[in-house]
Amino acid sequence: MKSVVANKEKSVNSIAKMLSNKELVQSYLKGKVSLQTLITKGIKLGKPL
Amino acid sequence: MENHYSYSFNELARTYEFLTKNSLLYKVAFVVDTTFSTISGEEIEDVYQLVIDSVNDGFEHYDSKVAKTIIHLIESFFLNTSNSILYICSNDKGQAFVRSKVFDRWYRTSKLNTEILKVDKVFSINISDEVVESFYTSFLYHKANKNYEYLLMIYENLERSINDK
Repeated sequence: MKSVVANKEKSVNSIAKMLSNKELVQSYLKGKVSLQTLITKGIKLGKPL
Repeated sequence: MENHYSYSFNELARTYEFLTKNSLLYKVAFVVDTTFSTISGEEIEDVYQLVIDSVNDGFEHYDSKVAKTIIHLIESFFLNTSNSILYICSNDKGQAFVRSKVFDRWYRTSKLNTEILKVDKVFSINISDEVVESFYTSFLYHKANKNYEYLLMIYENLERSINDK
């Protein structure tokens, strides 16, 4: 199995991005921001079902 | 009669939606999550964040079909055993810990836990010189996921890199 060594700064930034993405998508679901805003921020909504 | 609401995918909005008997519109988004890709340095597919919200801000009467509908959605999601969910609890109003407990209770009482496994991790991050904030996360994967050991290793490395002194 491949090994992974995570860098602390990168990891902290990833968690911060995860949370900010979630908050932005919640705002989108409530109609407070547009889909275009999500796209601009690099957020993609999937259709996994 | 089905014990959950019927839902559909809104192609324009890119969300799954269902309307309850109290006329509350729920929207469910599966956000493509790149956390594991960033940490591993390679493209890791089929990892999503799940975000659920009702559109109306008004009072919600208890409606057991809402939870059943969300469980049905998640069950359908995991029919593809490669799919997984990385979940982070919002700390809105300082309630991240409470939300993590509610999420855990919901998972344990659902019938999901026979096929879908959940690993929890809390990340402690200095948000200023004196304040450390706890971020409550969970990783859900199907027990038949062929890549689960690698995914768990990335998740553990993520934790180690943040929490180790």
